[in-house]
Amino acid sequence: METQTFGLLGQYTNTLFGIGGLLVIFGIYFISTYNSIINTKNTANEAFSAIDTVLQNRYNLIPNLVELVKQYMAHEAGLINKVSEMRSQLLSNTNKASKERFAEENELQAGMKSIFAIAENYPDLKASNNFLELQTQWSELEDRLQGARRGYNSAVKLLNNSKEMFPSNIVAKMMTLPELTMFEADESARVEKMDAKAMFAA
Amino acid sequence: MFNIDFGTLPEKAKKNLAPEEIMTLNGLFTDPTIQQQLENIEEQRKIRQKWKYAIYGGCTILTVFLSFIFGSGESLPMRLINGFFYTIGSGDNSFSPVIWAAIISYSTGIGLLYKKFASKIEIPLKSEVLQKMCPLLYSKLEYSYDEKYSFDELELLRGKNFLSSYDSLEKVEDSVHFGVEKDGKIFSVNGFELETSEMRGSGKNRRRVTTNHCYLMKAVFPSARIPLSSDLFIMHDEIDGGGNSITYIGPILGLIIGMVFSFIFLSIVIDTPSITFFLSIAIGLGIGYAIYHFRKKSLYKNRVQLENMEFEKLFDVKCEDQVTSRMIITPAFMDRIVSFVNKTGNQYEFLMQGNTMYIKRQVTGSYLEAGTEKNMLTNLVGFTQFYTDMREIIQFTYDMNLMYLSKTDTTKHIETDSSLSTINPITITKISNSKSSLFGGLLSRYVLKM
Repeated sequence: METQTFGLLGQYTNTLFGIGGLLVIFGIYFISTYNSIINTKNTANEAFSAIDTVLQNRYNLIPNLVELVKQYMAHEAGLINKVSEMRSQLLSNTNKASKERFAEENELQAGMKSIFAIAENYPDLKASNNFLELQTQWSELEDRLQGARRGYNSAVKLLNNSKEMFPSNIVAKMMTLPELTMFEADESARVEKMDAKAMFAA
Repeated sequence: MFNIDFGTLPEKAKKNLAPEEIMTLNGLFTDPTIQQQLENIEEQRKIRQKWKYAIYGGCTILTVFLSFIFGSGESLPMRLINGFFYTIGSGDNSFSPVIWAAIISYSTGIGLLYKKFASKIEIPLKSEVLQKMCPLLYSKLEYSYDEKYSFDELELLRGKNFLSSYDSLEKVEDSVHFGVEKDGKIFSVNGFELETSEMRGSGKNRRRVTTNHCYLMKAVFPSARIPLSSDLFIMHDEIDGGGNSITYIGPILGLIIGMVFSFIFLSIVIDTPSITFFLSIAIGLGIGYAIYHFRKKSLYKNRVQLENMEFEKLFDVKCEDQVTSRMIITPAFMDRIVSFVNKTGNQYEFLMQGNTMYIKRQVTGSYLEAGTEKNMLTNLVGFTQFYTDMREIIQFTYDMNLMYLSKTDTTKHIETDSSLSTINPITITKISNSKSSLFGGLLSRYVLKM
């Protein structure tokens, strides 16, 4: 059979077709991997926004809770004021992704847990429908926060896998990707009984 | 006197029965009503046996007679064999009168036997025996051999992909109901057997084949504290473990078919074999990769990736709402599902909608069939399997209910839940196995006061 040639390419035709075919395959792989990494990064950002939204809802709930418990827990004014101050501090924090912010969040959470624990000693407060309602809302926000954090961790894990695993790490190195760290359980949350007064001692 | 000993059941059937439970079940069968029923059933079985021999004997005589009439040959055996295979016409128009007469007479006989005795053996066995076995487990567990306790959302579930492979819903039977009422709110579990089939083959080989078979249950949690606005699917794994073959078979087939077809096409268009070869490889790879890419995209759509490796190997979770789904599927929830699936050894899928959870238990082969041919103990193997399945499913759904209830009234609800306190003491041994798990422990502590 007579070999068909393609103009000036001549005898290199086979090689060029081979290289061209490989380039097409690499091109398809590059585009799909790039898009996949972008998608994962956006998912992580979205998950982080979900966390932030829950935290905002939590900040909105605190003033109502504080106003209510103040009426019953006059002796715990220090603890209540400290929680209010922490809320104001967190609201003014502009660096939303900073580690300091999340450390403060954990402290705020511990403070609120203490208020709920101390409320056990105030039967009138415990029996208040408003308090029960706020407590339920708080508890649901806590669950939502855990769900959002786990979603964020999952997205960060996928992104880190793309950045570290071969061959997607080659594509990832060509991109500017943020360094995202996973949420870890706060050590104070592992302690069953906290000494709230010691924690908030000035 | 009928002596039924559950201790003599095959190991597979009794492995989930505690010794005390075997004694209680044996005790049930000393009940005079059950004894009377079993005797009636046994009497019917004996009558059925006589009818069976008469029908089979008559069919055999008819076949031999017709073979003798149509046959030819010097010796009697040769004449009968020739007669049996005697054919009128040739090719597609051929017809074997004796073979067809044998098939029709035997199948008619078997059909008549089933029709006459199903209502006298199978239905009484289920309605008398199984109906009494269920309340032994939970006082409020009711069983009906028909679709009395079924529910209506089947068309909706088919649209949601949960039952999408059930193209026609033909068999709905063996339904159960369990309900606990508290403050006007009812925690309930309903279930029934569901089967679909289709005609397959052509000509003489055309027959009805069961394509899908499951036991479908619906648990309604009255005080769901987590509002689920999107459907949450917990389906058989297709991504991490069992699904690898599904993920890769399509792309590999695409690669091979793409290469072969493009090679054939390019061989006509291009004269150079090497170019044809390289191009067809490239096209095949491109098609294979495209199939892989889109398959993966569809598998991963709305996927909720979770931390429990064992759970991830068993299931794929899909939900549009990534946050709320994680509020429900907590680490404790995943542990509970894994322990439930491992303990029962069956394949399950779940769908959660609002305050409702649908549970689909995949069934292979027959399920809960009280065959008229089988002896009493063999039938009880199937009943025992159903009995232990119900125990695990209701306990599991009750644990799920705890996770759904409002945190503020959970304890109150459990402590005053009188119906679940009526769990027969025989089940305590088995339930104590789950005491180590978080929710099994809660159930043991508050419901059983252990």
